[in-house]
Amino acid sequence: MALETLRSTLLGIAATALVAGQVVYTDTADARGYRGHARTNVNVNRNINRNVNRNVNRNVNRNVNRNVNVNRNVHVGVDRHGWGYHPIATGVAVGATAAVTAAVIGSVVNTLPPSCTSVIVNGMTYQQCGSTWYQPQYAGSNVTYVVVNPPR
Amino acid sequence: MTGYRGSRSAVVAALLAALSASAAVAAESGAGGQAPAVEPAAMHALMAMSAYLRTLDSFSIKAEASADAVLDDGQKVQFDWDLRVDYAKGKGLKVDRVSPFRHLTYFYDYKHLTLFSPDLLYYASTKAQPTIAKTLDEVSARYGIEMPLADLFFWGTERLPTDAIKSAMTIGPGRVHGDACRHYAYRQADVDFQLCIAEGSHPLPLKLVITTTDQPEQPQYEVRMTWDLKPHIAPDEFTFKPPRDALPVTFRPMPAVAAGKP
Repeated sequence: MALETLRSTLLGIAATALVAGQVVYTDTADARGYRGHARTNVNVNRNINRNVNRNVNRNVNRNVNRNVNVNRNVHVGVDRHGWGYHPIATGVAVGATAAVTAAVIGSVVNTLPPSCTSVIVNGMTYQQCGSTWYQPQYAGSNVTYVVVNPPR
Repeated sequence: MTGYRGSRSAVVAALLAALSASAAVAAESGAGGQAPAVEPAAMHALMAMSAYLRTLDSFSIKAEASADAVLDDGQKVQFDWDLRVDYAKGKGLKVDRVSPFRHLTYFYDYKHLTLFSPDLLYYASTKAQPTIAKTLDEVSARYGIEMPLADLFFWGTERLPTDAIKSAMTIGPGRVHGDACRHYAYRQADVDFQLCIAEGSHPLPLKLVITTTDQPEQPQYEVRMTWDLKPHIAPDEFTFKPPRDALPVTFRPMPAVAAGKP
């Protein structure tokens, strides 16, 4: 699992494995090669957010820093989440996601591989991409995809 | 506007006080090093703006927002969005956040808060609290959702202790989109912010700058706003009606919630 995560990270893709059922919150910014961003509100209840972000930064940076020389795309993938986009890197990132993280249940990715089909099961949307199923979720104000077992 | 009776005199008072106070600040800054105090005129301006916001029955805002992201090596890059806010007291709130690659809409109708991305077609809904401020607090803690310009719905509510402001000062005259405003700067424990508040009887924030001071790079967020106090708002605008091809999804819980912590 660690190797898998490292490989994905080196390719500039965040594949955050779930540890013992605990949700690891990969704020998109932090997980993908940027270590922070400006707050967009002065007054929003931020005790929880602040603590979370700090933890995430610390945990993730170690992995992410390794990326910097390997593949500058990481910075870009992040931006897909409301902080912008970098169109050039898209193809590379998407291909790598599919190749590396497809089978890791619980992985969280920010982009789907190509050729997925939307399927609604019990009122919830899944994306079937070949044999891998993803559940799209709003993580904060962004969309991420969790690799799940086939829902049916 | 007749909604906020004290606003005109409050602003005038703030301006008068600001003139002398800003001179004092300028003199003090020459001495260097000392943290500026809470200047009453700057606090008064913030309070007048906050109170005025709460008197508005409806408004529409078009705004341009820019925010810094900090890359691994410390380099800062800035991203831009267009924002659109429609609000009608008692009916609801709708906020559009549009970047070149992602459009996200927040719907609040006092019963549900829904996020919908018109380009991804995903939507997620949660039951809402009876006030915007409570709803935003809840979804921030629970799901990490931060709605653009949420501050406009916190200022002037009981939820905001004024003693959060550690420093307040008047900077001087400002100008946003050709409109005159008064520039103020404030500090809280982990964030600095600046406002340019319209002069005259409508003390509206025309510009907001937020500096994140608990990160070494101090990334900034900036919004310039154009206000319409007589907007044309459709009565059903605030209730999300999923388009035929919309896709229902969930919100991902924040870890503190997932772990059962308060």
